[in-house]
Amino acid sequence: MRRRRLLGLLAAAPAIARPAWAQGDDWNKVVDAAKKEGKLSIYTASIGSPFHKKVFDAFTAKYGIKIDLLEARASEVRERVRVEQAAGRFLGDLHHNGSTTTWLMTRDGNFQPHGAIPNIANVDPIYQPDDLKIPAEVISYSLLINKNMVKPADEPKSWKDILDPKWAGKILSDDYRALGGGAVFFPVMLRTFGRGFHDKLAQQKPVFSRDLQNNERRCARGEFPIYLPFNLQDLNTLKGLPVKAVVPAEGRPYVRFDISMLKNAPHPNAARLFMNHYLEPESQIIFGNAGYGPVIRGVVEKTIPEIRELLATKAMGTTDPPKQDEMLALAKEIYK
Amino acid sequence: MTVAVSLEHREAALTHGLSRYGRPAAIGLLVLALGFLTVYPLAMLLYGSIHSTPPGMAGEFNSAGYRALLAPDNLQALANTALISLVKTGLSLALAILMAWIVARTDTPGRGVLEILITLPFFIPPILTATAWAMLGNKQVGTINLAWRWITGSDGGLIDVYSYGGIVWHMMQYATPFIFLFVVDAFRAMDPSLEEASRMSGASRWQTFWRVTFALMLPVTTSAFILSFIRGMESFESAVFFGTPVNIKVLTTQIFDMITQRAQPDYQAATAMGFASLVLMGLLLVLQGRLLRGRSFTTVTGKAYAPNVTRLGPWRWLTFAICFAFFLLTVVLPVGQLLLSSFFQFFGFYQIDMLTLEHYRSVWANDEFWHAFGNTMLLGVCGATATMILGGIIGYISTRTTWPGRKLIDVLAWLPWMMPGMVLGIGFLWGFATLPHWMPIYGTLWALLLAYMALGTPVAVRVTSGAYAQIARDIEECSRVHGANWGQTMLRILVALAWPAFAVGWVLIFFGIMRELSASILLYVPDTQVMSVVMLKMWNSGKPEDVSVVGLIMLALVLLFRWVQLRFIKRRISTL
Amino acid sequence: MPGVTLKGVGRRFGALKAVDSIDLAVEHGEFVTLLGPSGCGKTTTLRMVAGLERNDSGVIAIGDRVVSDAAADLFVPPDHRKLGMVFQSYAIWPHMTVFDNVAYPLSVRHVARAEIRARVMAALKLVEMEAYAGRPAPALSGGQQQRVAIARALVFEPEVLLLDEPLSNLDARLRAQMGDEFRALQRRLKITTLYVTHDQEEAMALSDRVVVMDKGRVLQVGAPEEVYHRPASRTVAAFFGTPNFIEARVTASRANGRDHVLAIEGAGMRGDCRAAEAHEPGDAVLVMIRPEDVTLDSAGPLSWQGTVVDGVFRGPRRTLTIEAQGRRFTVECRATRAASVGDTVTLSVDADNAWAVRP
Repeated sequence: MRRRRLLGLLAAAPAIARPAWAQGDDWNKVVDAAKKEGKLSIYTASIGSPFHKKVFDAFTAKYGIKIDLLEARASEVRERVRVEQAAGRFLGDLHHNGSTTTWLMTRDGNFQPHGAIPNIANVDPIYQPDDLKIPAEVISYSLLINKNMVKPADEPKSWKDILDPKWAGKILSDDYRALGGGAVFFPVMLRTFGRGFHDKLAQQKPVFSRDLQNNERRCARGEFPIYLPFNLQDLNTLKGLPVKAVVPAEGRPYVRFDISMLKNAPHPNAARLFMNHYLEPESQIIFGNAGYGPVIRGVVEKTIPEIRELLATKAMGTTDPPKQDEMLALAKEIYK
Repeated sequence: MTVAVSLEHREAALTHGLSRYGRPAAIGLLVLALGFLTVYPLAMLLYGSIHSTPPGMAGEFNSAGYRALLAPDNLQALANTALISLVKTGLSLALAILMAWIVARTDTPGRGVLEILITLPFFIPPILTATAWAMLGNKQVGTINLAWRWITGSDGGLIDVYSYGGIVWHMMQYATPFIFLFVVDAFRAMDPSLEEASRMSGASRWQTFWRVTFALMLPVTTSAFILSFIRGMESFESAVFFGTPVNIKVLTTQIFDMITQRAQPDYQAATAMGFASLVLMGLLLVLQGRLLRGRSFTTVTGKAYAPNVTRLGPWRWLTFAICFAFFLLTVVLPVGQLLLSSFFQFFGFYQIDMLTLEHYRSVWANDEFWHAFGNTMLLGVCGATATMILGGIIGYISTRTTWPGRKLIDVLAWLPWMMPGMVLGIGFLWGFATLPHWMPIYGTLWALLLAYMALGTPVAVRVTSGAYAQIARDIEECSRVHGANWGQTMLRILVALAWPAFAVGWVLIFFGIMRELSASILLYVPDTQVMSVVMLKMWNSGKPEDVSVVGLIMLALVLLFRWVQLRFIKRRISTL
Repeated sequence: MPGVTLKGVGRRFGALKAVDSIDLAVEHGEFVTLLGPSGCGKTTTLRMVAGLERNDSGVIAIGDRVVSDAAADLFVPPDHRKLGMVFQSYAIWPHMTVFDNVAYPLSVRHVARAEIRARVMAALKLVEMEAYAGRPAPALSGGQQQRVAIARALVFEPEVLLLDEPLSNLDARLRAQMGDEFRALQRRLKITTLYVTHDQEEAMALSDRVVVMDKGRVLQVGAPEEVYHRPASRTVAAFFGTPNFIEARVTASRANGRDHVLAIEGAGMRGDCRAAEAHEPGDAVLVMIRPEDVTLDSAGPLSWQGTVVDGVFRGPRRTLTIEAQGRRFTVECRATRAASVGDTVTLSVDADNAWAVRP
């Protein structure tokens, strides 16, 4: 059933969207109003991503609406929004950030309901949208191994294989005690395997570093045979290097990015139009091919083969925003 | 004896008298401007440190932020920070003074070129040299260690940059040129008769160096030491790059952790930590004030002096070797790595089939980068110039006048330097965003310009007051008596004489602006994007090679600036 | 009439009265020297005239223009006082050529370029430095820098020229030569000059009038000969050379022209001397006798005997130290006058050369 639908999507993407468009003139009014607004200001925690830029550029090309992009790190984006709103400066329309930050900002009341968005109908049910946010894309985490140092037979098949003493001192890792990939990996493993997993991993003495890009390179250069958790979308920038992403049998931890409309957004129609655009198959396939998990149904299957085999694995679990700081504290306790 | 005074003359004199009221007004304006640049953002931060939530949110006043400082973690970090900074500043100071003396006062061959070369490391983005050193000096596959193993046949490594030593070494590459830039002109400008007098009194060359040359340089060297020490306390890149993997915590990595690495950023503890470091550094300044009080350090007098160049004989090759070795280690190695890497697809993978010009093309075709480059140049030129003017005036007031309130001005100008940049950036964000909306500051280039000025003023003040302190008062008074007003005297005598220092200050501030990220990322808007933000984007999108191309562009700019500056100096003061 | 007038001018530094209510009038074209030991306030006085220091009491006028009046809160900054000044260190700006140094007072006043050139060259010619115009200033010798400093001070044709110990950094021979040259120049240009020095010979050789200062106060103002021969007090007297002082008691006093002739009596001596004022019999006085005024080997109106204890040959003359009545006298005599230690000699002084001051 699902497959048929996907095939249909393959043939004619607009066909899928039709039910949404058919909702009537309302949406056309939104499109017209958005074009009249002519501008859109997006605050994003995704810094320098060429794939996001592609999607943004497509939006501008399609609707003639100029996008102003403010990129900064997650907490910086959040603090800018917070202080701007507190000072009565409503400059941003949309906010694109990890689900934890989105959750916190929802709690702080930084967002306003986005209203009806036709493409929400296509969203994969595990990434439930609500009145205040739509899912944007998903970052999936795997292992990165150096092919020169790890023979195919030695490749970890399960996440538990990294607990083998032969990897002691040979694991480079994003820090579990700080926000980021490590803070996704930690609670997912905890939930799946129990605390024992972390106690044993701690004995492996993983080396922590917070510079993702450099970590991947260090693994590629042969400083460490294994790096984790590896952002799948970074595979693009490592093409040609002797590294390989490995998703163990249990699946891949993931974290979702959300898009929300900021309170008193100056261009609310353009914002809505953009949210809809983001959920278009042609947008999501860009993310899919880049190694991000798409959030609408039927896109994974269309991604390029080497990515598809990684993304088609099981989504293992994600973070629980309310428990984030508690988890960081526990990680600090286990990994001294 | 009566004084005949015609009414006309009396009136003329009175108008001159009126200019007296201009002074308090000018001082008042200055205090106001400085207050806005420094006290205002700090006041915001102070509020943040004693309030459970950042400005604009409901909360309560409490001392949780300061109590958090007492956590063993934070105390340990503070001790680490002080230790690392002290060691690196001490070593750098010694090295910088040695090289400044070599370049300014000896007949070491090629010292003109050496002077430029020695200062280069300062201008390379730290993240790039860190990357380069990570490739050169990691325990497992670092080039140096591989070579060591190959030569000695041993299994161990010679060096490991992921260590205290690595952090100190990496910081030294920035501290040494920084201090060098600060002191070299002081060495050059010194009246050699002061040294000759010491030699004639029976002191050896070494005693003379310590007891006269070095002692006379105290204001400059202690200023440089303190600036560099504080900078070390606030340095982030080296520690996060080489320290975090081996669990070495410092002040800034703790603050970074508090504000960017938690789900719920702890601004209260972060700002409290900022103030703790501010107080510590304030104490240091008081100490310096004590050390220098009541002593005269005038070395540039109106009397004639000829340049005194110590003839070292064959030893000059040793001094040459010292400077050149520094250049080799801090520039050739890492920059060579960068330059080489910039022609390969990946940093550190030197395979023929990976040769490419793609990174140059990519930077060339990056509109965002060039837009940011334009903004940064504009901000850099205007910011450095405005900061030097402001700093030059403040330096003048605090060193050469007896106006009441000059101490206050001096302290105000120091403040931004003592607050870690990461925290101060938040202060600017809070401060500028909450200004009345009719003030076109937040969201414009002005916000960045003002923040950069505040950040640069301490350097400008130190550089200029160090230079003023060496110029005899006569030199200035003579100009006033001969008909020049204060502005003319300032420009044609003080600035003209202190020109090398002004130029150095300008360059330091200019490149400080080019590199500044903490405040920039919190204050930029899409229209006002600056280079540091674009470089962060490049880095984060996995293109360290593009970053290194930008680094090389910056380096080329430095070379250009320094060449122009030194040529200019040569033409004007070659006769000295 | 660009003279300089000071009335009740004072300056404190904290509790210290550096200058304590000075009155002084320098006439147009006059050369007046402020003379005194270091710390006497002479430089502070000069700097107050220059406007580099603010007087906290009194009035200063240059010509008939009040430039500073503490009570009226009036203060003309130095650049509006139209002065020329030579500093002790010369304050030659090391980053300029000789020409630029001298041109400075004109160029800051926006004088036309061609005129600057003419006037600078004229000023340099005045000090015989025109050949050095293109030289960088630091490449000059001390004497040459001095000349440049003078040219710079004169180029604007200032109303008043101020000099702060300008010769003190030169060697003795050059000092004398420069002094003479400068005096000749000053006479030629008839420029009002206020000169500060601690060197009494310099002061006497150059000045029309000398102002002797000590501890912030003026002790005496007068022509060099006047302050030398007719000092108002022991302090003033002691400031010039190494005079001998004899404690004595007045036995009689009578007027003689503007002076008074006193009959005095001291330890082992008696005779006449002169004084500026009348004394009562019985008054204690100090009689000043300059070493060069003592005559040996002949009795005079005031004479006594002593023993030679030391003799120094100085070329043109000989300095003897003679002990009489437990007191040592310094005596200058002809170099040819042989004197061995232990000789007994008779000393005598003309009444005109013995000057009594109050002790």
